[in-house]
Amino acid sequence: MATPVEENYLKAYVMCTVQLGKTNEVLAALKKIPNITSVAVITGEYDIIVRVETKTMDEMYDRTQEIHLVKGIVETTTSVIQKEF
Amino acid sequence: MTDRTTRPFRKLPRKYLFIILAALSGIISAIWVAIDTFVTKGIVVDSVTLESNEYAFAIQSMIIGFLVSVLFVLLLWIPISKKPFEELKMRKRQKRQENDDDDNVQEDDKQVHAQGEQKRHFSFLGQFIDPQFQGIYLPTKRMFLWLTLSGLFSGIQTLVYFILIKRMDISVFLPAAQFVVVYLIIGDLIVDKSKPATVEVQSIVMIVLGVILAAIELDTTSSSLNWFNLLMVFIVFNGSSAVYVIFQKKLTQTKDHHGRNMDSTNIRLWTLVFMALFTILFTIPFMRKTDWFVFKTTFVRAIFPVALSMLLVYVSRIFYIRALAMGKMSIVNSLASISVIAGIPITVILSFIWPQYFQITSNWLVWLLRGIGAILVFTGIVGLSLSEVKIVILGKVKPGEKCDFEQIKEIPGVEKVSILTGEYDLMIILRTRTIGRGYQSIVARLELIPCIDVLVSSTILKEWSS
Repeated sequence: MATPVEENYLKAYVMCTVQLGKTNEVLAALKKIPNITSVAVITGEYDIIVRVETKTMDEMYDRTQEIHLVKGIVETTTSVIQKEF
Repeated sequence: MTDRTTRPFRKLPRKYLFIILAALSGIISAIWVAIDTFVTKGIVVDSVTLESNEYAFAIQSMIIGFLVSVLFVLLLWIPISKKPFEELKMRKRQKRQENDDDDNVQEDDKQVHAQGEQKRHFSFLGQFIDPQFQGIYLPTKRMFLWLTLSGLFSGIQTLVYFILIKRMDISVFLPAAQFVVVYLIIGDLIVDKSKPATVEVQSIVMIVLGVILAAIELDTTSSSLNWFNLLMVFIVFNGSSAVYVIFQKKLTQTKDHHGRNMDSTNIRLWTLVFMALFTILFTIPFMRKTDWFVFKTTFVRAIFPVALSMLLVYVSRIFYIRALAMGKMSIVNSLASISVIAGIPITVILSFIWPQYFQITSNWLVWLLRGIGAILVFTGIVGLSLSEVKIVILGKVKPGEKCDFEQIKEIPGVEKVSILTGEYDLMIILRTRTIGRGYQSIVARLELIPCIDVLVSSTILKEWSS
């Protein structure tokens, strides 16, 4: 449950496609990046879904850039959360 | 100080935190049931007949419990930082500015409001126990409805509880009280109109057999099942308990005017108000003159143990409600049933301290049956919690159609609905006991929503959260 302050945060999901055999390395690298609140390994179209929560859009940009730099991530799709129920 | 998003991944992941909270709630429950047994058998006793008086104890317990709980919440409301005072100053300033020049006030209000939004992060003593606690506040109309209904069923449950602890050994009562899990699983199956999964059947059978085994009394006074007690505990106690849990879950999901859920401390306080009211109302018709006499003469002596018991109930319920907000209802109840196992050592320890109130049988067969029963119940529960799966569903909405996203949130098992920018329009997080049940939610519910165009579901293999 988020507190009212946290509700004002900018939230986004970053869906990542990972190079075969690099999942554990990618996970270890992702866990070190600040503002990431959850990481899930999934089946299907994407391999990993990352949830990022930041105070500003600049911060969000920095975090997505850091995710792009993680070795083993082939492709990412970032979707900003407009509303959450 | 780091906030939730910048701190590293917490050592205790959410899924383990909810397990610990639920289990702690169960262990504390076993302790307060033991204290209540001690009070009913040792303190609230008719001085002439030497018989314990469950009705007098029920009313005493509710009155003392209510007063103690209010005092406890007031203690939790003590500010421990400057933030609440800053908030108070901000409000005063806002009020003063409202009385000033009309032209300037709107702009100033905006600034003050913006400052307030930044600072509105209260710091109370109670946040050590319940981080969501923001002070006592009045429930909304919808919350009031759920509180009244849960208070009504809790009143029935509480009265039956006081009758049963007089008649039953706590190591028998505690496993029997866990039968509520079976009702909740069956309730879930009826609501979902689905067939039970293998793991659910296994768990139900294990819990039922475990409860029956643990409830067999083979002591010197009776060598069979006490059917009256068992029917009271299975039908009345567990039935009202199941309905109470459903309304409490509804209450935890209801949002106030600010879009916030009620915190567990407020839920407990307000539930207690209604529970005390209904318990007293249901007990009064059973009270005779002699019962009122016992009530008066034993009231002072009962204050300390009842206060201690009610405080433990309070802490246990806060842990339980917090766990309920994190996990699925039947799983939380399953984990809280660790009290089944805790009841056995607590009974044995107390039988050494107060042998006159906690008489235990020396028949090894009874302890063997209770041990096997407790293990069966616990294994059934663990099986249920381990089978839980989480599914991520990405969806596209048909262009030009208005979508009621609240409708999606109403689907059983839907934990979160996020409206997204980009390739997909929405993401749904679904939490179910089995993949088959997840399929039911997707095929039977989500796909039938008219505005939904495309659904892509993926099972979460592993998850970490901060």
